[in-house]
Amino acid sequence: MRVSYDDDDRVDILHFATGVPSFEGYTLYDDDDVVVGVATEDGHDIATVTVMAGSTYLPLGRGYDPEMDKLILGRTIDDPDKVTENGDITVWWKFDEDFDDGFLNPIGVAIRNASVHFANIVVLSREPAIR
Amino acid sequence: MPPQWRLRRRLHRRSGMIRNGSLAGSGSSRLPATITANGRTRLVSRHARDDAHIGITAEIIEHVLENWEIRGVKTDSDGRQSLCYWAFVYGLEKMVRVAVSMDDTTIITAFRDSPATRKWRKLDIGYFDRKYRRLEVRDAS
Repeated sequence: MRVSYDDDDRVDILHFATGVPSFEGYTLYDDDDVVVGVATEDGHDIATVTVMAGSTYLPLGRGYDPEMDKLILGRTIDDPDKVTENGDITVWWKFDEDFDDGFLNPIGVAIRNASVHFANIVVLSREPAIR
Repeated sequence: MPPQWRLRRRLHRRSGMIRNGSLAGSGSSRLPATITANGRTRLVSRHARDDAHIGITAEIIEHVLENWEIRGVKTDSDGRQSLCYWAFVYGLEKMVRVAVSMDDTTIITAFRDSPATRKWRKLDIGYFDRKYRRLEVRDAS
Protein backbone atom coordinates (compact mmCIF):
# COMPACT_ATOMS: atom_id res chain seq x y z
CA MET A 1 0.00 0.00 0.00
CA ARG A 2 1.23 3.50 -0.83
CA VAL A 3 0.60 6.23 1.73
CA SER A 4 1.15 9.82 0.68
CA TYR A 5 0.73 13.17 2.34
CA ASP A 6 0.26 16.44 0.48
CA ASP A 7 1.65 18.98 2.91
CA ASP A 8 0.53 22.09 1.03
CA ASP A 9 -1.25 24.04 3.76
CA ARG A 10 -4.26 24.53 1.48
CA VAL A 11 -4.49 20.78 0.84
CA ASP A 12 -3.32 18.80 3.93
CA ILE A 13 -4.43 15.42 2.60
CA LEU A 14 -3.35 11.97 3.75
CA HIS A 15 -4.01 9.32 1.11
CA PHE A 16 -3.95 5.52 1.23
CA ALA A 17 -3.75 3.81 -2.15
CA THR A 18 -4.09 0.06 -2.60
CA GLY A 19 -2.91 0.11 -6.20
CA VAL A 20 -6.45 -0.32 -7.51
CA PRO A 21 -7.66 2.85 -9.29
CA SER A 22 -10.55 4.62 -7.61
CA PHE A 23 -13.77 5.01 -9.56
CA GLU A 24 -15.94 6.96 -7.13
CA GLY A 25 -15.94 8.17 -3.55
CA TYR A 26 -18.09 7.81 -0.45
CA THR A 27 -17.64 10.16 2.48
CA LEU A 28 -17.94 8.45 5.86
CA TYR A 29 -21.43 8.81 7.27
CA ASP A 30 -20.29 10.74 10.35
CA ASP A 31 -17.00 12.16 9.15
CA ASP A 32 -16.84 14.15 5.92
CA ASP A 33 -13.07 14.37 6.20
CA VAL A 34 -12.70 10.76 5.10
CA VAL A 35 -13.52 9.57 1.58
CA VAL A 36 -13.50 5.87 0.73
CA GLY A 37 -12.68 5.38 -2.95
CA VAL A 38 -14.15 2.26 -4.52
CA ALA A 39 -13.11 0.50 -7.70
CA THR A 40 -16.48 0.08 -9.41
CA GLU A 41 -19.62 2.12 -9.83
CA ASP A 42 -21.91 1.76 -6.82
CA GLY A 43 -19.50 -0.85 -5.49
CA HIS A 44 -17.95 -1.39 -2.11
CA ASP A 45 -14.57 -2.81 -3.07
CA ILE A 46 -11.94 -0.57 -1.52
CA ALA A 47 -9.47 1.21 -3.76
CA THR A 48 -8.33 4.24 -1.77
CA VAL A 49 -8.92 6.15 1.47
CA THR A 50 -8.45 9.93 1.41
CA VAL A 51 -8.28 11.91 4.66
CA MET A 52 -8.71 15.69 4.82
CA ALA A 53 -6.99 17.45 7.73
CA GLY A 54 -4.36 14.75 7.33
CA SER A 55 -1.94 16.55 9.65
CA THR A 56 -4.22 15.79 12.60
CA TYR A 57 -3.26 12.11 12.16
CA LEU A 58 0.48 12.84 11.93
CA PRO A 59 2.38 11.51 13.75
CA LEU A 60 0.30 8.49 14.71
CA GLY A 61 -1.93 9.33 17.66
CA ARG A 62 -5.41 10.39 16.69
CA GLY A 63 -7.50 7.24 16.15
CA TYR A 64 -4.48 5.00 16.68
CA ASP A 65 -4.56 1.83 18.76
CA PRO A 66 -0.90 1.06 19.51
CA GLU A 67 -1.63 -2.39 20.94
CA MET A 68 -3.30 -3.48 17.73
CA ASP A 69 -1.16 -1.21 15.54
CA LYS A 70 -4.40 -0.12 13.93
CA LEU A 71 -5.67 3.28 12.82
CA ILE A 72 -9.42 3.82 13.05
CA LEU A 73 -11.10 6.51 10.91
CA GLY A 74 -14.73 7.27 11.68
CA ARG A 75 -16.16 4.79 14.16
CA THR A 76 -16.31 1.07 14.69
CA ILE A 77 -19.67 -0.70 14.78
CA ASP A 78 -20.70 -4.10 16.07
CA ASP A 79 -23.40 -4.80 13.53
CA PRO A 80 -22.27 -3.72 10.07
CA ASP A 81 -24.47 -4.70 7.15
CA LYS A 82 -21.39 -5.24 5.02
CA VAL A 83 -17.65 -5.48 5.56
CA THR A 84 -15.15 -5.09 2.75
CA GLU A 85 -11.39 -5.51 2.85
CA ASN A 86 -8.44 -4.89 0.61
CA GLY A 87 -5.05 -5.71 2.06
CA ASP A 88 -4.67 -3.88 5.35
CA ILE A 89 -7.80 -1.75 4.89
CA THR A 90 -11.22 -2.75 6.25
CA VAL A 91 -14.41 -0.71 5.80
CA TRP A 92 -17.68 -1.21 7.71
CA TRP A 93 -20.89 -0.31 5.87
CA LYS A 94 -24.47 0.28 7.05
CA PHE A 95 -27.69 0.66 5.11
CA ASP A 96 -28.85 4.26 4.91
CA GLU A 97 -32.08 4.56 6.86
CA ASP A 98 -33.21 7.82 5.22
CA PHE A 99 -34.41 6.01 2.10
CA ASP A 100 -35.13 2.30 1.83
CA ASP A 101 -33.19 1.68 -1.35
CA GLY A 102 -30.35 -0.52 -0.16
CA PHE A 103 -27.73 2.22 -0.28
CA LEU A 104 -24.77 1.50 1.98
CA ASN A 105 -22.84 4.24 3.76
CA PRO A 106 -19.32 3.66 5.02
CA ILE A 107 -19.23 4.12 8.79
CA GLY A 108 -15.64 3.40 9.69
CA VAL A 109 -12.26 2.40 8.31
CA ALA A 110 -9.53 0.36 9.97
CA ILE A 111 -5.97 0.36 8.70
CA ARG A 112 -3.85 -2.47 10.06
CA ASN A 113 -0.06 -2.28 10.43
CA ALA A 114 -0.45 1.47 10.60
CA SER A 115 3.03 2.10 12.00
CA VAL A 116 4.58 0.30 9.04
CA HIS A 117 2.56 2.27 6.52
CA PHE A 118 3.18 5.58 8.27
CA ALA A 119 6.92 4.91 8.34
CA ASN A 120 6.84 4.88 4.56
CA ILE A 121 4.73 7.96 3.94
CA VAL A 122 5.62 9.79 0.75
CA VAL A 123 5.45 13.55 1.21
CA LEU A 124 4.27 14.90 -2.11
CA SER A 125 5.37 18.51 -2.14
CA ARG A 126 8.72 18.49 -0.40
CA GLU A 127 10.65 15.25 -0.41
CA PRO A 128 10.30 11.91 -2.16
CA ALA A 129 10.09 10.11 1.20
CA ILE A 130 10.61 10.54 4.92
CA ARG A 131 11.49 7.97 7.56
CA MET B 1 -42.64 27.26 -7.43
CA PRO B 2 -41.09 25.26 -4.58
CA PRO B 3 -37.35 24.63 -5.03
CA GLN B 4 -37.90 20.87 -5.07
CA TRP B 5 -40.22 21.19 -8.06
CA ARG B 6 -37.72 23.30 -9.93
CA LEU B 7 -35.01 20.73 -9.23
CA ARG B 8 -37.22 17.86 -10.35
CA ARG B 9 -38.21 19.70 -13.51
CA ARG B 10 -34.58 20.42 -14.24
CA LEU B 11 -33.58 16.80 -13.75
CA HIS B 12 -36.37 15.61 -16.01
CA ARG B 13 -35.52 18.19 -18.63
CA ARG B 14 -31.92 17.10 -18.62
CA SER B 15 -32.62 13.41 -18.72
CA GLY B 16 -33.13 13.48 -22.47
CA MET B 17 -30.36 15.83 -23.44
CA ILE B 18 -26.70 16.41 -23.06
CA ARG B 19 -25.60 19.87 -22.09
CA ASN B 20 -22.14 20.83 -23.29
CA GLY B 21 -21.80 17.36 -24.81
CA SER B 22 -20.82 14.19 -23.03
CA LEU B 23 -17.69 14.82 -21.01
CA ALA B 24 -17.03 11.24 -20.05
CA GLY B 25 -14.03 9.70 -21.66
CA SER B 26 -12.76 12.90 -23.16
CA GLY B 27 -9.35 14.31 -22.44
CA SER B 28 -6.42 12.85 -20.58
CA SER B 29 -6.79 11.05 -17.25
CA ARG B 30 -3.61 12.73 -16.01
CA LEU B 31 -4.58 16.12 -14.67
CA PRO B 32 -2.48 19.13 -15.68
CA ALA B 33 -0.70 21.39 -13.18
CA THR B 34 -3.27 24.14 -13.73
CA ILE B 35 -6.88 24.25 -14.85
CA THR B 36 -8.66 27.34 -16.13
CA ALA B 37 -12.40 27.74 -15.62
CA ASN B 38 -14.47 30.88 -16.02
CA GLY B 39 -11.28 32.71 -16.94
CA ARG B 40 -9.57 31.87 -13.66
CA THR B 41 -6.52 29.62 -13.57
CA ARG B 42 -6.08 27.50 -10.46
CA LEU B 43 -3.26 25.18 -9.43
CA VAL B 44 -4.06 21.48 -9.20
CA SER B 45 -2.76 19.92 -6.00
CA ARG B 46 -0.14 17.18 -6.14
CA HIS B 47 -2.66 14.90 -4.49
CA ALA B 48 -5.26 15.54 -7.19
CA ARG B 49 -2.71 14.95 -9.93
CA ASP B 50 -1.02 11.89 -8.45
CA ASP B 51 -4.16 10.19 -7.20
CA ALA B 52 -6.77 11.21 -9.75
CA HIS B 53 -9.92 9.12 -9.88
CA ILE B 54 -10.63 7.19 -13.08
CA GLY B 55 -12.25 9.36 -15.72
CA ILE B 56 -11.94 12.66 -13.85
CA THR B 57 -10.42 14.89 -16.48
CA ALA B 58 -9.52 18.56 -16.69
CA GLU B 59 -12.60 19.05 -18.90
CA ILE B 60 -14.85 17.59 -16.23
CA ILE B 61 -13.34 19.78 -13.52
CA GLU B 62 -13.82 22.84 -15.73
CA HIS B 63 -17.42 21.79 -16.31
CA VAL B 64 -18.08 21.46 -12.57
CA LEU B 65 -16.51 24.83 -11.76
CA GLU B 66 -18.40 26.57 -14.55
CA ASN B 67 -21.75 24.80 -14.33
CA TRP B 68 -22.01 23.90 -10.64
CA GLU B 69 -25.46 23.18 -9.32
CA ILE B 70 -24.61 23.23 -5.61
CA ARG B 71 -21.73 24.74 -3.74
CA GLY B 72 -20.97 25.18 -0.08
CA VAL B 73 -18.18 25.68 2.41
CA LYS B 74 -16.77 22.62 4.11
CA THR B 75 -14.89 22.93 7.39
CA ASP B 76 -12.57 20.07 8.21
CA SER B 77 -11.72 18.78 11.67
CA ASP B 78 -8.71 21.08 11.84
CA GLY B 79 -10.82 24.16 11.10
CA ARG B 80 -9.57 24.53 7.53
CA GLN B 81 -12.24 25.53 5.06
CA SER B 82 -12.67 24.71 1.39
CA LEU B 83 -15.32 25.53 -1.17
CA CYS B 84 -16.98 22.42 -2.62
CA TYR B 85 -18.71 22.50 -6.01
CA TRP B 86 -21.02 19.79 -7.36
CA ALA B 87 -22.35 19.35 -10.88
CA PHE B 88 -23.98 16.45 -12.63
CA VAL B 89 -21.78 15.05 -15.40
CA TYR B 90 -23.44 13.30 -18.30
CA GLY B 91 -21.72 10.13 -19.37
CA LEU B 92 -20.57 9.59 -15.81
CA GLU B 93 -24.18 9.89 -14.60
CA LYS B 94 -22.88 11.14 -11.28
CA MET B 95 -22.45 14.31 -9.34
CA VAL B 96 -18.77 15.22 -9.35
CA ARG B 97 -17.40 17.16 -6.40
CA VAL B 98 -14.52 19.58 -6.83
CA ALA B 99 -13.00 21.10 -3.70
CA VAL B 100 -11.15 24.41 -4.04
CA SER B 101 -9.09 26.22 -1.42
CA MET B 102 -10.77 29.23 0.16
CA ASP B 103 -8.20 31.58 -1.39
CA ASP B 104 -9.45 30.22 -4.75
CA THR B 105 -5.95 29.34 -5.91
CA THR B 106 -5.88 25.54 -5.65
CA ILE B 107 -8.03 22.63 -6.74
CA ILE B 108 -7.66 20.28 -3.81
CA THR B 109 -9.49 17.18 -4.97
CA ALA B 110 -12.15 15.97 -7.42
CA PHE B 111 -14.17 12.77 -7.48
CA ARG B 112 -17.51 11.19 -8.33
CA ASP B 113 -19.51 11.69 -5.15
CA SER B 114 -21.77 8.69 -4.68
CA PRO B 115 -23.75 9.82 -1.58
CA ALA B 116 -24.21 13.31 -3.02
CA THR B 117 -25.49 11.86 -6.29
CA ARG B 118 -28.05 9.79 -4.46
CA LYS B 119 -29.23 12.68 -2.28
CA TRP B 120 -29.41 14.98 -5.29
CA ARG B 121 -31.53 12.48 -7.23
CA LYS B 122 -33.86 12.23 -4.23
CA LEU B 123 -33.98 16.03 -4.03
CA ASP B 124 -32.66 15.87 -0.48
CA ILE B 125 -31.02 19.29 -0.35
CA GLY B 126 -31.12 19.04 3.44
CA TYR B 127 -28.22 16.58 3.18
CA PHE B 128 -26.01 19.33 1.79
CA ASP B 129 -27.44 21.97 4.09
CA ARG B 130 -26.54 19.93 7.18
CA LYS B 131 -22.95 19.40 6.11
CA TYR B 132 -21.94 22.62 4.37
CA ARG B 133 -22.18 26.29 5.23
CA ARG B 134 -23.21 29.14 2.92
CA LEU B 135 -24.96 26.62 0.69
CA GLU B 136 -26.00 27.86 -2.76
CA VAL B 137 -28.25 25.95 -5.13
CA ARG B 138 -28.44 27.27 -8.65
CA ASP B 139 -31.79 27.61 -10.30
CA ALA B 140 -31.34 27.04 -14.00
CA SER B 141 -35.05 27.32 -14.83
